[in-house]
Amino acid sequence: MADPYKTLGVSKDATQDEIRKAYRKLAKDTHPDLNPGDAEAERRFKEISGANDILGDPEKRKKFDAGEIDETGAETPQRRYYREYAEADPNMRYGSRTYSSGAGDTFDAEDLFADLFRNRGTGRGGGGGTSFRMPGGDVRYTLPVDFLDAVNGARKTVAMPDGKTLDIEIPAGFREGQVLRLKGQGLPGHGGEPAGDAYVEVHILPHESFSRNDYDIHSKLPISLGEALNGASVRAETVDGAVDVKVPKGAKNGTTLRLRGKGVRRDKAGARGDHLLELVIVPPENPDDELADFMAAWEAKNPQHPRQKRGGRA
Amino acid sequence: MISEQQLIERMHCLKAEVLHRWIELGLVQPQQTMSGLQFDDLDEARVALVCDLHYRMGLDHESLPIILSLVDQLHHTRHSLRAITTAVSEQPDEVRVAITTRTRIVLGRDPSAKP
Repeated sequence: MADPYKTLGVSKDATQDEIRKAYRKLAKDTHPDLNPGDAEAERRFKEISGANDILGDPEKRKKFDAGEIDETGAETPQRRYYREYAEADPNMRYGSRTYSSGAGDTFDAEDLFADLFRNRGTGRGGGGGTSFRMPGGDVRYTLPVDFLDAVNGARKTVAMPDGKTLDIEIPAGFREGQVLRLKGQGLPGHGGEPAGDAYVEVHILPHESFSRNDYDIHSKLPISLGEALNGASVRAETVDGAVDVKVPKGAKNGTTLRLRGKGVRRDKAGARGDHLLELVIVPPENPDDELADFMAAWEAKNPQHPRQKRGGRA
Repeated sequence: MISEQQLIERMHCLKAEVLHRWIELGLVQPQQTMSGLQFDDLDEARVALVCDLHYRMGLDHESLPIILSLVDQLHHTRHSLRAITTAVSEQPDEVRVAITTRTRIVLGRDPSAKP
């Protein structure tokens, strides 16, 4: 079922009066008894009535807006609240944002250590102990990266949870889960000791048409039946732009074409993997009688056995 | 991960232009990808929270950043505090006792002791 606001054609902040008017008008237009013989009208009328059952009742509408019930009026699964995610997020992605002036000076475990070690020596009961020295800890972040940035390499400026920004160079040919080490970008040291390192684990986001297998890129290349039968030169997208590809005459569905050196960089010298294009034959969009008649006549002379295994029958 | 379209469909009260305003203000920070904005579970739960604050409790766009900043600071503090309590809980008994006792004294909860 669709969004009841869309079904009634009203905005999300419509008044109850506007909803009632919209419902009445649509109900008149689609009522099955006023549209005998129109099967579509009945379906529409049911949908409109269902939408009005929810939006026409202020109580139900409030529950629907809050996500407590869905468009059929059924209760939606228990909501998981923000706090469950916020405290479990190791990156503290929304940790200390400075979008309101003056904020951003967030209490942190490291601040506490700084306090602890400052008090030492002057502190009560401590009796002037030696000053505390401890190198800074390492930190670990995860960084999502676009598919093409990982293949081609990119520079990224990343905001760290503590408000610092880091410039990160992602080398071409980066693999999923690989880790970048940024020396001295971790937690600060105490008592003059050096800072720790930051480790950035890269996660590659999926691409809508490319996938990757080690150094090779895979994608599908749709071609028409005519192009498959007669061969053709067609444009195909690769990770560094479109190229012309020669489809051989009589190409079969699923045939793979290999574009050498169009894959992912595999070493510093610049050697690259390949791009593998899988041909997908798309049947004619609007077959007419001419084509259908021709195929029927042709198949009568040349019987086809698409459901038989190759070599099963001559 | 869900798209902006899917998110708007799930959050019944939310309009796209309002969501864009929140992103502009930095209240919500989805992933920018080649195929548009992507929201993970954390972002989605956060949008639900901002929806509640804005639509149900009537907070306007002047006060939303202040409230969210406080909420974020609170979560950050709890996160840090939990790290410290975990570290303390892994210490030998006598260390845990010493820290607990001293903390109570500093908090003024032990009447027999002087801070």
